[in-house]
Amino acid sequence: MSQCLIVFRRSGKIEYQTNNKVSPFNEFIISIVNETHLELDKNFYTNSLHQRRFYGYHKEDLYVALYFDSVTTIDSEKVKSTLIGIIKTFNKLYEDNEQVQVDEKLKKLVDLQLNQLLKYKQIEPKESPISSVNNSGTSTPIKNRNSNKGSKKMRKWDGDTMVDNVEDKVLDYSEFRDDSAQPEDLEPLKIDDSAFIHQNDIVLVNELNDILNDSDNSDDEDNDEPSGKVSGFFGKLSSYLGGSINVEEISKKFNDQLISKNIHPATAKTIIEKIQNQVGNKNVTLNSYKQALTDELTKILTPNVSTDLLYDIKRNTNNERPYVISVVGVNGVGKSTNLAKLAYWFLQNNLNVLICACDTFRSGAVEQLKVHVNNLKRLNSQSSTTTTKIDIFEKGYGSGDHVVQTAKGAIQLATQEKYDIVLIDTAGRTHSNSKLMAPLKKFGDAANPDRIIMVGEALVGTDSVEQAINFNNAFGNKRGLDFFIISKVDTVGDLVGAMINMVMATKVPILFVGTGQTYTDIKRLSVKRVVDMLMK
Amino acid sequence: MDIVQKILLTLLGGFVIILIVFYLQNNSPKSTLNKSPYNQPTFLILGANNSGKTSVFYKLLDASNNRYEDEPITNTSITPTVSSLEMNVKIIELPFSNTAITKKYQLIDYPGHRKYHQLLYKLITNDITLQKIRGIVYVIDTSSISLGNSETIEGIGKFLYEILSFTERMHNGIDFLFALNKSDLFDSVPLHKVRTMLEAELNKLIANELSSINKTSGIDKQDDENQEDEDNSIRGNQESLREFWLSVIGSSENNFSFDKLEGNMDFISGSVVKNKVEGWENWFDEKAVNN
Repeated sequence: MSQCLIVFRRSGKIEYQTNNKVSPFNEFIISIVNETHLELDKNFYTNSLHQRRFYGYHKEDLYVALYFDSVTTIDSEKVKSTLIGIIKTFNKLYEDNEQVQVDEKLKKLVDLQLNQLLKYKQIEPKESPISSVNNSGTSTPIKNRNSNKGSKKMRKWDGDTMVDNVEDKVLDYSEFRDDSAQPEDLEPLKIDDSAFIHQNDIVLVNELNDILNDSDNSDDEDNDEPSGKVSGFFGKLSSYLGGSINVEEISKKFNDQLISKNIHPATAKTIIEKIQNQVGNKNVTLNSYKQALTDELTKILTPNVSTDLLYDIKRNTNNERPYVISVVGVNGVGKSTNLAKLAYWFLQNNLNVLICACDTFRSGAVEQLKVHVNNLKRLNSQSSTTTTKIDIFEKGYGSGDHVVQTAKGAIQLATQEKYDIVLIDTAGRTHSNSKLMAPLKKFGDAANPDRIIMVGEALVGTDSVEQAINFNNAFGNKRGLDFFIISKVDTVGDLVGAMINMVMATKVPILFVGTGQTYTDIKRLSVKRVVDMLMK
Repeated sequence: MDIVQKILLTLLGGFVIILIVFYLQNNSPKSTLNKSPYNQPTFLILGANNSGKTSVFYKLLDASNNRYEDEPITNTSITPTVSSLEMNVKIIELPFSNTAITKKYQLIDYPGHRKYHQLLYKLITNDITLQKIRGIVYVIDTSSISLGNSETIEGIGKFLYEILSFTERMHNGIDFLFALNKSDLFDSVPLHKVRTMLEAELNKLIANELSSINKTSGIDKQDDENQEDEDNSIRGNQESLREFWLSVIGSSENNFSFDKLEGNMDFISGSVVKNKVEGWENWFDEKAVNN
């Protein structure tokens, strides 16, 4: 069992580390950037990567993160209060002192808190004393007992050259403590005065409590401040003229604007809260607020993986197995149409395409694909530059295992006849009907597509969140969607909020947008343009 | 006019003046809003995640601060870092070698997350503007573990392919320093090899772009469409990506090499850990003096 704790800034500078095993944190931070982490509470994150359990907490610029090498049973609330305590300790110490002295002391205080946390893991307590950390002095005796028990752990400081210095402080602080209202603190001191270590502990614990209590107060003050903003006519007037603004009011305005652009209210609220959190109580102007929102939307839509589909496919061409792409979605969103558009694009890039009709349910679905394939064949033969082939693989209609059989057959045929890509069309299904969604898992396991693309329509509005989530979960917990294609974007004008809904809900990037009826009406997503539309 | 009227008028006048002053003050930041705070002479530090950008950043700042000491401190300590969540901006005085002629530059270390690429492009073109960029440091992790991974090299290639397409639109281009970090490792890939690898990767991407002539699918045509809209950005009224790369390499049979670019591409290896950063400092000095 090993663990590591670091305190770092947004800039990436580590302010404090318990040991040098910091590299695993990079992945955790990347997951924060990509927003694949789990947010347990405000500003409190967790994630499990490579059998490590990460916890992170941040206050403004300062982050503190922690990981355990094995699966632990520590209650996340306790981890959270420990992390908060460490941040407070850190801030407090840096306010008062200079760097050199701080390092020693910080190390002790942080180690103390970390050890306390670890004890909860070891002894599985019935009650949780650490929850009282933030309360005033009453918790001191409990903590004393704890630290006495843990004195063996603390002994490592014993050998420090700094011991003498600390002793002086020790006496100082304990006297100070005597004067204050807690004489029972002295008891452990007297019982065992052979070792300074214990005194050290007590002093540290006392100091820690002071810090935690102190900063509690200052926290409260901080929270009170923003309410005293200038409001009324002049506030509004000055906000138009570029002065600072009432954040609450402007947040509400932008919240409404986002919702009016078809963004799900809950999603809009999340975004706006994040912005509010980010701009904080600083002097915010209308422009800086807008800028923050624009940046946030841009960040949401920017893919976090390579979207160069062609590149992936071309790398796969040496492989025996063709590159399998499957298209899913609810009824009538344009799965087959977009599949045909993709096929056209692949043909132009010198790739051989086999289309597999796995919609064996709706009547006319296979015929519809046949029409597309015939069109594409004709177009393909007219163009002189390409020498590619396209064909359809179909086995008629049927239910049950028929879909899986068809898909397997198509992949087998493609392998034999050296097709580069198999495009599998699936039946549209209602995302809320689990009876219809269940076969997707079986299909996904059998066909094992390299890429699963979900087609969603821009028209759909707030239901898009549910759709995206349900389809993303339909393939089991090891597999999710890879990309979205958003269709019918030409029909909604500015109201492109569905894109934000789907991406926010699943963290799956948008690859293309469909903008019309012909084979050429498919485009790469232009993040900038979508954000401009939303901010208009 | 009696005295009461005079007093009232004076008061009114005073009030109006106060109002005017108040709003002039409030407006003053607005008038500079069009000009971003980042719009000043800049050196950018870019690179993939985990290549050592922030370490380089702090190393350079240290070097810049320490030279005023009488005895040069051989500061071998490095600032421990993890992945940055946002960019680092600091003012740095260059050149390193001569304290008499220093000028202030802005040094920006931008995180390598793919999620931030769109914002980075915006920062470069709209906030800093290309004219103000004095040089770009591209940090590369030369350990075989990193460079041996085809995804890493692909990512680097793709990024360079995009960023070069707008830095090269400047007259004479923008100078790049490829800072080959971690050269102290025993499995570090040698300098000329890295260069060849990158050239090969870019060549692949360019060949791919040039082969897509006469394609009518909307996916391939995206660049032309975008440019009609982006009239305020640099890319706006310029030729398409394809024409640009064609102009760089001459004809589609030629291969790409870094010498064909207008900006100077310098490959210098070094190591932050072993404090081998003189080469990079010299590069900065050269750029700072020449500008």
